[in-house]
Amino acid sequence: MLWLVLCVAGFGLGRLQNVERVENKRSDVVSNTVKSVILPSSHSLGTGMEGTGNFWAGLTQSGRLKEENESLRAQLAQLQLYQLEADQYEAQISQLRSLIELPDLPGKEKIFGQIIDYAPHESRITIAGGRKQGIAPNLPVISAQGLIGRIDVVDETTSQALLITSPRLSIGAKIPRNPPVAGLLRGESPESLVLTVVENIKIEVGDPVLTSGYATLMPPGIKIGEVVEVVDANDYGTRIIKVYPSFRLALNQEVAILR
Amino acid sequence: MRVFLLALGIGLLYWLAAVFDSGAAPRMIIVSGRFEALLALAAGLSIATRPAAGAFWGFLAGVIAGGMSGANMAHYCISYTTACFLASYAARLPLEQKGGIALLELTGTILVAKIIYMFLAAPPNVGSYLASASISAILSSFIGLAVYALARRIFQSKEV
Repeated sequence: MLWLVLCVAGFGLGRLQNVERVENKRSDVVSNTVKSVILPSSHSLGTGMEGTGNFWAGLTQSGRLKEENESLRAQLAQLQLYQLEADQYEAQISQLRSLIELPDLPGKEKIFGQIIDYAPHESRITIAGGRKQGIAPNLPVISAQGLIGRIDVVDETTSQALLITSPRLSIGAKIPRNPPVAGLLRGESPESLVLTVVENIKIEVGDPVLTSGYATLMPPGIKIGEVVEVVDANDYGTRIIKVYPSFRLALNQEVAILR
Repeated sequence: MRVFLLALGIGLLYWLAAVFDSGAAPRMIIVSGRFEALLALAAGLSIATRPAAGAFWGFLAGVIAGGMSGANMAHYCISYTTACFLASYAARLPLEQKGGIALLELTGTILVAKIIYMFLAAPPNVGSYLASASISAILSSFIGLAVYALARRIFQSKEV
């Protein structure tokens, strides 16, 4: 009998979690309490384990790390010069857009955070950063390799994002051919995304897949992945394009939320 | 006083298991399987206690796992509660609860929980999910064995 009561209670708690997540885009009371008790300690444990691993790696690979560090410093210096020029062009574009009364492009402001938890079965990550830092629902999350996901739930100091590999997420994407091929991309598995298009334009394995920019909050041109297979579904008049995502996930990884 | 200390101790174990699952387990993947300390803890407590208590340990683990993941709390609660409830019943069979039998029971409990969860929240690739669930069950059963040994000493000396 208690088993049945607990299953019903679990069902009720699950409903509450769903309602808060879908309608209010925030965590329910129970999830919030659990996370506030567990996350600080688990994050410290993870950081400690990583630090220990880095210490031993530093001892055994110091020569290679020194070379890599110098090469990265040189690349950073070049990128900073490039960034200066890019910032100037961006300012000019903003000015011109405001002169002809067009709205500003999304994704210009970056809020940095760290991945502090990962739920693989639910395709969700928890990021250190929430309403206090200016994060809002549906903002894109990117890493150095490309698009990771979209903010789903925002609490005061943490937020959760749905990964692009989740079957619950669809994103406008394009393949930059001439003319560009656009469609809706959705997650299929942790290593595969599916893009459905109708245009009969030549697409090759290895073609990059980028965000299309047709959605309000998703800037165009962010790398999502690469084409690995093209399947013609002649019965439906569409083409199914399998895409391998470019992002690589790791705990404590730095990510940026675009606003 | 004893009951209070017991509750505190079990609460601390659940906290440690959740911290381990979130902070350390993702960095300790072995052949696509990972340690599931929360489920192992609930399973270990379940086979040392009555079915009603077993259901409760599973429910608690499900609430914590669902809260941490931010989704599917109902699925976690139902699968963990059911598996731990069944494990408690299975532990009452007339089999001598030695190390090997207990290890099998723990592996079975964890695997059953993950299979029930699979039916409630279908993964994209069932084959690879089952493979990683099996490896996770084997790895986690050793954590569960340590918990069972401790719980047996505490609970079966005074039936709860």
